[in-house]
Amino acid sequence: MDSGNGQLNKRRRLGGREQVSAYLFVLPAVLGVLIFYFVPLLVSFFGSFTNWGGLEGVFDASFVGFKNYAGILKDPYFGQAVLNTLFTMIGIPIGITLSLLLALLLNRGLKGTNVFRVVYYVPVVCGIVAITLMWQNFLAPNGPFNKLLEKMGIAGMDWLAHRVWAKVAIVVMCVWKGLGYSTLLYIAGLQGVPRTYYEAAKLDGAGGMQLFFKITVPLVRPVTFFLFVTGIITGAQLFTEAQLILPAASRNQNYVKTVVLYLYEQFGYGYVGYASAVAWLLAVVVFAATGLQFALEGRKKD
Amino acid sequence: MERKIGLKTPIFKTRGGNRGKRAGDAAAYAILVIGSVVMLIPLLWMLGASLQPSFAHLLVSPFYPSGQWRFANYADIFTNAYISLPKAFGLSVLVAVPAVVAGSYVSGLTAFAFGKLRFKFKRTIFLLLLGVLMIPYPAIMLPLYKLYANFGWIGTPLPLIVPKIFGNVAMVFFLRQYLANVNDSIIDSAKIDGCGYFRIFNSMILPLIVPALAAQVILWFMGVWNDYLPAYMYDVQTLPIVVAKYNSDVAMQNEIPKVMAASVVSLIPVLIVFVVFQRWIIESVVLSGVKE
Repeated sequence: MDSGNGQLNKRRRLGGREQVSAYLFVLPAVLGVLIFYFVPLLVSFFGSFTNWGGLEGVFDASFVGFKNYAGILKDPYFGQAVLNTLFTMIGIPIGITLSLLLALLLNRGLKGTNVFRVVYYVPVVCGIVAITLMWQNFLAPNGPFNKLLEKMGIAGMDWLAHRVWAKVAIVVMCVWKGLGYSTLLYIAGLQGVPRTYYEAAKLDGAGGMQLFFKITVPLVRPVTFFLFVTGIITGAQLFTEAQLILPAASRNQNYVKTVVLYLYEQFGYGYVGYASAVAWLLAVVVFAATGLQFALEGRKKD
Repeated sequence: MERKIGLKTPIFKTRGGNRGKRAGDAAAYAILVIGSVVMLIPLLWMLGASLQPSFAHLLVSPFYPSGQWRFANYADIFTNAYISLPKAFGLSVLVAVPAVVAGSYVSGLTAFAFGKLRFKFKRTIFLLLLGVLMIPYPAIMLPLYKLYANFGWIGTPLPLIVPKIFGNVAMVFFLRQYLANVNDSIIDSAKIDGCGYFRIFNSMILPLIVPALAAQVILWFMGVWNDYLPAYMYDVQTLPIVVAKYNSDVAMQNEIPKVMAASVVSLIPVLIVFVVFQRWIIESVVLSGVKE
């Protein structure tokens, strides 16, 4: 039993009816997380050590030990998928930097700030499928982006057919789409910075750059950290953008294949045990990132 | 540029004084306006492209529809054989509205129990629920596929509806914190009057948390409306799925204006919701994101 209840007991005995009602109220959520989260998580863990094909039950599959994991780590396509996924994560620091600068501009108390906030937030609420299809056509060889470059005297190219530029396109799209969200969090973070800090620093003769790096950056660090960790967690699971950015004719090129796309492909081939092992490698990364977040947040509170 | 710091009413004049402040403001405006153009151009281009009479027109005038704007593109995609847009729209509404509303009500009830009622193992159960927030979806989707296949649910909307009805852990977490501001004495007096806890929730707590609950419903709705991977995984023909499929089906036929029209249609509901509720949405995003 946990310690909180002991104190409560002293104040008033736990009412029978209150407890029964409470259990009834939390029952759906508890059943929900068990059926739709924890049991599947354990099943995929178990399945990752078998040659599960998906058609039979996981317990009918035969145990293969670490064979799936060894196979994954030896597969050059998996290595490529990991590198592709890591490549797209360069958008995290870019997005963080841009949104902090944007938040500083939006925190000057200018007229129309609210309008800008809404405008920058529009891409955040837009569905990723529509956005990716738009971006795909926007960057097409005869699309508007190349026309724009042409007008500026720059020769365009088939960006999405290029192994590096296609990934850059995903990065740009993700930064563009997520900017409004991180800016919003930074604005909230900046509003929590006491004004007196700046005033005192300015009296001491600190310049704008010093104020920025010595006061602003350290004081919004919790937001930066939050954005960084959530960026890694969602970035590691990148799927839709990478699946849909290329035109249908050249879909599933290895140069944009992410870890989850690789996982889905293996699932499609019927290698469900193998795909479960991929899923668990991914899960370990996500757990580590979340654990890091909890650990550092806990340390901050001590 | 030396004064990036957000002082709304500067008490101490900085180097350059008011003139510096005004120049800084002008520069800030310039950057913000350019940024806004960059944010909106791709979206406006999508809208423009959706009204192009044909692909050939799009090539000649890529930025805005030349000559006649063809609103009939929108009528076409609703009757087109390649894409069953009305059906997909209905399915998306079914998945994103009743399921989300029901799940939000259940989340409210759960949050009430965690926030206001006393029961054994409360902390343990709460931590169990919170654990869900760190589970990445790809790690559970393969067994879930198997589970839904065993139920015969693949290809039906049930995999996107049923799990939501059990509540949303992130929402429970948020509402529980919101409930901390609700005074216990209301509940105590209701108890003295002999009200059951279910009635206390419905008649007293629910009206109090409606603002917070509504904002969460809207955020969840927008997320579900745009969701792709689960629908793709369990073969549910929601709007994002059919729009993506339409894009590949007509890739050889240069139907880009109509693909863009279908994309715009898929965005309209969330954009309307966003425009109407933007103040609420922005506030609750901040509250849910930065938990102190």
